[in-house]
Amino acid sequence: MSSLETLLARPDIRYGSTADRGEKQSTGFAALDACLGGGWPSRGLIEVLHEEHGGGELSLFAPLCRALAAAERQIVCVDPPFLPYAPALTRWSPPDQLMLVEAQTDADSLWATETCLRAGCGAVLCWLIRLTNRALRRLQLAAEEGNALALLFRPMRASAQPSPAVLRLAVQPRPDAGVTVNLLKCRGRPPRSVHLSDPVFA
Amino acid sequence: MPQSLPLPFPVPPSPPVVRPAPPARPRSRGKSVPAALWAAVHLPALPLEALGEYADTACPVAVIENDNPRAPLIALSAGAHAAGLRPEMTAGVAAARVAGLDLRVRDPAREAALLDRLVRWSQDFTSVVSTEPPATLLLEIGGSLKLFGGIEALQGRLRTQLKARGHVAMVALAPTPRAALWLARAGAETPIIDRQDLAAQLGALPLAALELPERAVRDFERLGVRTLREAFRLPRDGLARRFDGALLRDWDRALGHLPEARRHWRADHEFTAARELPIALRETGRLDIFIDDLLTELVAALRHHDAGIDNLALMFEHVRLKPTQIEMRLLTVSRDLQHLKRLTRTRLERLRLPAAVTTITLLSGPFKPNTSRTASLLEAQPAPSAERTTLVETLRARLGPDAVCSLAAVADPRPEKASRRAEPGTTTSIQQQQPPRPVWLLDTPQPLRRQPELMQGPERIEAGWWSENAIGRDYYIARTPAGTRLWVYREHDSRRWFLHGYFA
Repeated sequence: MSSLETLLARPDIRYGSTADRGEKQSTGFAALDACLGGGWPSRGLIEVLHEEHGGGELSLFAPLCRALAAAERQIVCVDPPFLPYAPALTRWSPPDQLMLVEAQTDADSLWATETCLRAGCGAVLCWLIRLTNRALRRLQLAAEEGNALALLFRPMRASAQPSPAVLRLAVQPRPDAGVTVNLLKCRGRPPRSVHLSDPVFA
Repeated sequence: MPQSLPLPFPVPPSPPVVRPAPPARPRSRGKSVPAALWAAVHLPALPLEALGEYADTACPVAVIENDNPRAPLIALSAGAHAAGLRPEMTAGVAAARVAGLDLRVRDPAREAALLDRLVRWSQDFTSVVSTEPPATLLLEIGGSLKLFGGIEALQGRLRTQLKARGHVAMVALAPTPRAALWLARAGAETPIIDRQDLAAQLGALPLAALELPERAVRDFERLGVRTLREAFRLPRDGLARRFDGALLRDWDRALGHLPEARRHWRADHEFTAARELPIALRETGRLDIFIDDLLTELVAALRHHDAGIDNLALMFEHVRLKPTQIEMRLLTVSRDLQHLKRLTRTRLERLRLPAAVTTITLLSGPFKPNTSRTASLLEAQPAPSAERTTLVETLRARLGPDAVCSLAAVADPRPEKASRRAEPGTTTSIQQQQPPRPVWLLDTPQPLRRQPELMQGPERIEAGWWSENAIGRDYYIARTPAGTRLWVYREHDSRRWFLHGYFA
């Protein structure tokens, strides 16, 4: 085998043109759809970096959750920082498609996330704090295998850690009630940022 | 039958007395189907026997209803009888009369357990057995007479076996279950074969055989009625009015004029199996093959009964220590081997065994009708609900039963009461239009030092005045300099600002 072929066979080498293949799920925001080449990827790890709570980081995914729930796919929140509030969630998805998992330790939390991803849930929202590179890769792998989306919400400072995620974005609220989405990493596309106006805070 | 006079008030219609002609028995190959014959086994000393005492002991032992000194005695040993105690006496009187009397409080749970053991024993005689709590079994023995060699032989065998088991028992035989029950309670053990004799024989029984409520007993006493004959000689409509129709219906059932439906006892199927390990093992990973083996056996048994289970337990025995037991509950009835294996694996991963295991025992819960889907060739994807059930059970097996839940909106105006935890898969139908609500709600509102920049509001919520935690608040959507959205409120009383949620 030539050295080039050996190189191309390596699992950590990917082709820019192939990354865009696969189904996309509309984000519900036209500007963002355009940036992402059609919408959210249908599987894999999405890292969402944000500074404080209440910056629209969750509402950004409300249309996605609505679409998944309509397709009867389960949405799981693993160890959220606060208790989700049911009256608000009814606008997101039918409550019976939403599940809450509370684990005691980081290890259990990671295990629960992986288990849910592999069990074919539509999306697993998680707030894992200390994550090794290995754990991140495991999440990405579990999401790929389970044909699910892992939405990992992390503080902004985590951007220093390299990530195997399909998509890494930073969400910042804007004074005019919209948000700025910085696409820090998007397979097959250059990083760029998008301003979304009002309807984010649904 | 005496004709009643017209009464100024409405009288409930007395149940009709139906005297059907004896039904023609279906005949097959010239053999007649045996006529129904019921054996009632009454255990007057059951409360005593359930506590582990023998009724024929010479020691004075008495069982009381509760530990009140005025409680009546409900069961007496032979010794207590000999000492002059009678059931109508109260505990206080009895204790004063007999020195060294052993007074015991009855234990209904143990009585029920004993009755249940007796039902299992009685399966040797017939498969049609029902119980008449607290202390009577009813056995349909018409079909067993030939096997046991006739009525006397069967009755004798019942008596001997009961005696050998340490019971004082009355065994009465009659063509209807209720007649047998009354006869047994009255201690009339002469078998009645013919329905024609029932009325005469039952009529001689004292009223106590009916075990009527106290008020009815007093009413009959006032009328000077002591036997069943005297009671049922009274006008039927009068009886029906005074003692409701149930008494007359029971009488008609005892005589066989009305049919009696009884719930027959059925055995619970359960599965228990054990594996002794060739060598004592400590690591849970190496126990898997033995557990898989037990589960395979369990699933085979379940398939055999076309049943499923919704809970099972595993017991690990150690050499000197107490056994370790784990229990697993399933959300739905299942007999899926892979699923059960997965669940036990997940559970075992977290298990810390105190010592090496010598024997593993698997105990299933009672078998239940299997509701899981039939295996299908065409169905490629399991139903979403089945997938969710599996996932919930897997998560609970490791994280504990409370770790997984769903959320349901509640129609309560108080914001902190409008959301509650629910079992996954619960559907709520509350779809009320209300002002925007935050996704994150703080458990306890956080006091704010100053008023934030308000964007929307106020929304006045005054509620809970009917309970202790009344609230009066003006809610606003606020914004921080960084641009995050908050759900804040000002309390009416204190005029202070609180943070209650985030529009994340």
